[in-house]
Amino acid sequence: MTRMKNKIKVYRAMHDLTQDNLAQALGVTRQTILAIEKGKYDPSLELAFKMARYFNTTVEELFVYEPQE
Amino acid sequence: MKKNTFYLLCGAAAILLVLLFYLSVELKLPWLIFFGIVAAVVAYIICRKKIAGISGDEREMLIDMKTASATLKAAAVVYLAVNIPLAVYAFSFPQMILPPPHFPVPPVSIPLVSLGSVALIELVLLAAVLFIYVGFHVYYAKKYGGDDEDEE
Repeated sequence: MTRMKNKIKVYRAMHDLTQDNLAQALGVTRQTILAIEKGKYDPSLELAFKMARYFNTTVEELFVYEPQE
Repeated sequence: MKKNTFYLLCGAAAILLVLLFYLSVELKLPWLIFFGIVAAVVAYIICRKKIAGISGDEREMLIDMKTASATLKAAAVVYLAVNIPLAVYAFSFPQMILPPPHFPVPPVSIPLVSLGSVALIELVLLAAVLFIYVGFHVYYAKKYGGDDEDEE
């Protein structure tokens, strides 16, 4: 698991989108969206900004970095 | 060209290479398989560029990169561990002939052709590297969430 938490699932539900819909809109595979939501994969900066723009929000709102104590 | 056609062509090319390998052994022409492999790689690169959607997204590229890197490291270790002792053996017996055995030979013994054994070891190494690649690919795909079940 990565140290990044994200609210993609929440935003996806708010916009009534399936993982496949979001994946197609962002030009990635559905597995990538699934992996990001589960915290198994950290997206690139470019994909993170694309997601934030798509949901009309900021990267900081969508992704939260939790440093290890 | 469609993606599936590309994969079918890759399979056909692999079978052709195996046949070419057999032919080059039979005809004692190592250059045949050399040029066959070079031609196959060039054809692969050209065909791959003509196919839309063959390259995956960033997560798949990361998996490919990690797999390639790990395979390279593992292959280097395997090759060094096997090939250096083989080189020592080759330098020790330049004619690639085994010394006469110092132990009693059983009545029926299988003749050991040293050069054939070396070739066999090299082929086993090649197959091992393919298995290592597949193993690492499965591992990294699992690590980066490729095999997870959809929650929807």
